[in-house]
Amino acid sequence: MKPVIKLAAIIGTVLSLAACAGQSSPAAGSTTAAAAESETPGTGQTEEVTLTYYGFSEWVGTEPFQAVYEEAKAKFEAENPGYKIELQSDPWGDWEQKYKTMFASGNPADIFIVNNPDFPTFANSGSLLDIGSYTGEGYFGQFFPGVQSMYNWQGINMAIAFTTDCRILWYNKDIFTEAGLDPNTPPKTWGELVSFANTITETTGKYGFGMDLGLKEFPMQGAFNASSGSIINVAPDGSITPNVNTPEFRAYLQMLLDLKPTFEPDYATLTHHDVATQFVEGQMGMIIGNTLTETDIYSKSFYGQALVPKMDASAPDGSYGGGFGIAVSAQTKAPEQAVKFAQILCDAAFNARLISDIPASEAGLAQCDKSSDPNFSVYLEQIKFARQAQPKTLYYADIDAAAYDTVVEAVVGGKDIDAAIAGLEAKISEIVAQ
Amino acid sequence: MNKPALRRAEPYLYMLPSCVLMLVMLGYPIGYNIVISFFNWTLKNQEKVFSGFANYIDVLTDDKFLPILQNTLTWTIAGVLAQMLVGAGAALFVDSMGRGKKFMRTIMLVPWLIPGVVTALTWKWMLLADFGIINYFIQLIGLSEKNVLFMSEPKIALWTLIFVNVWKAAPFWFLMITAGLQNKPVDQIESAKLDGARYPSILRHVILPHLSPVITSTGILTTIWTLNYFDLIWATTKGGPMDSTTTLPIYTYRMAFEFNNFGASAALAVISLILVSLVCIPYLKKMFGDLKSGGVL
Repeated sequence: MKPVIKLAAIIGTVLSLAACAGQSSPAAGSTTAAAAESETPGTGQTEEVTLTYYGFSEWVGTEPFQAVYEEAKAKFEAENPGYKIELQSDPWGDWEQKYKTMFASGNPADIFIVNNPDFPTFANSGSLLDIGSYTGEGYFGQFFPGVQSMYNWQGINMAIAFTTDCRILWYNKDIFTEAGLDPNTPPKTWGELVSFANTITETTGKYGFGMDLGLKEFPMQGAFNASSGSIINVAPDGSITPNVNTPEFRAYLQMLLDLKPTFEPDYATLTHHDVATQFVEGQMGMIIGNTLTETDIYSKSFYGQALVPKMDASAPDGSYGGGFGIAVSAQTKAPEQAVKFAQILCDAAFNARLISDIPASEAGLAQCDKSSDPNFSVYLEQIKFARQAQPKTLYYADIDAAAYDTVVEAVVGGKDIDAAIAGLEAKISEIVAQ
Repeated sequence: MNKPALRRAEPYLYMLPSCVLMLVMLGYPIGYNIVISFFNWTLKNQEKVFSGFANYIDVLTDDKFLPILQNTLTWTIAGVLAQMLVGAGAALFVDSMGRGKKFMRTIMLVPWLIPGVVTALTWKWMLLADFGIINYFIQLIGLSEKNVLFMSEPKIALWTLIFVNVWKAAPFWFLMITAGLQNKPVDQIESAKLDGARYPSILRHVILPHLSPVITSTGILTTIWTLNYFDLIWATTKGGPMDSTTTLPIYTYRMAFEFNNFGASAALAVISLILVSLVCIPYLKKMFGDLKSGGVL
């Protein structure tokens, strides 16, 4: 065989095999979710427009929520003859990758659930419809203002607040008693949190505080937000500057280092789900977590709940605030109808029954069984103070990842606090400069 | 078309369907990936703007790139070598057994049959420092008094994952080598024994040369699979702690779906492709050489 042909054969084989090897990595989803048109059977004339809704299968495809999605779909189709809704979903683990791929490939769903950290990215790229121009701006007054503001980009409402989420302090009353702490007096400040956690570990040998660094997100953001800190400043002209060389961020890092002796040994790789499981098994004195509805915590008698401890007594209350919105693609073939279906999903009559989280409006909350459940009273109180550690900008994900790396370098790698803060400042400046 | 020309074209015509299929299924995605690696394409700005080699320069000059490349090479080279030694060693051992060969062959394949994510989660819990069964046994037999942080200590985590991957992938080597041993040259082995050769000499001069094509082709496949393996790392450490287990596929995925930068992610994918090619070219040269000397080419 001639050398050139041989080389070509070798390269061709490598390319082919390498491409085949992609089977073990998660293949980027390629499902086309664009609105599809088809003839109405039998008539051959009237065109029926199908709008696609894309969400998580944990809600869209799982009872008791699935039946309510079908109910919402039936209501929409009855009110909008000639328009159909196709419900599509993927499990939580695949959903984020898929919906980003849909947009990147120019084949977005018409109506979809949007994660609030991703919202600025989609909004800025012109991917989202100005929903307010169809509903009127007064429509958004029914939603919690802080939550709805997460979906407002440059003064335009481009998604409707659908769910809210926050973090609270969970503590184990039995472990508190065993450690000689008052089981009815949870910590209220970071100082007390550190003190109580160390007391638990020293007296009982159990983990005073359950930490998770397994997900690459700003760790313990719920606690940091119970201060007046923000990791960036955004000037009125939109320019962004790092804001981490502050007493709040310094105290936050110091708190984590002081808590470190009380963490479970695998905190560097465990996720919040792993830690919640260990808390429910009675192995930890305290964690900062959400509703823990995915566990069987509510069957236990040992747990206590409290607002997230604040930086100090004079600091404002705070917690991590998250949640999802319902957005409409700017590419949809039927914007008016797509907005109508988004409105049905966010309507108080449906919202609470479509999700396992907390609805984002007072009226939705009134329909939610959690609103009268004493197990959720602390959570519903805390949610009033939920916020995020940085204002929404285009660089949210990059800055969040930089903050994560900084915390890990300090807590796991033992990097000096000053050096860690200087490194984060430089990193944020670099991200913004790009 | 005259007859001689048709005769010359005939083999290529037979290959045409396969070539077209490969072009559509493999050539297009790879080509498209290479093209977008030269564009500034993010979710923030879906207008694809040609940026030349900017994505390559950005990822290659990123502080994280070299440690990640080093992780990738360690993960691949150490992993494949260990898989080969364990898998081939087990195959030779089982082949030499008098009884229980079928049972052993079945048992040895079990790890390979378990889905990657199940393997990952099972080992993750077994390797927990405080409640994991591995640490329990290590302390029971007195190997260590302290809990070993298999997944959480940056200096250990990558080697732990290499071990788990060897556990999972060595059976493929076992299977391939076992298949190769089914038609080993028994007459040559018997002659060597009659001439007084010991097993190491027979292994070196008779069995291994016979297995050479199998070892080469298995080496290519496992190198590519290992370098690109994603599930195990993602389901256990997500590349942490402190990026100590982040390999190129993990970084490529994060670049696309966490940082929403598809252009840079495509550049990383191309770099992975070049790396795979560089690693595999010696294997392939050897394989083509074997085929040529065997009269196949």
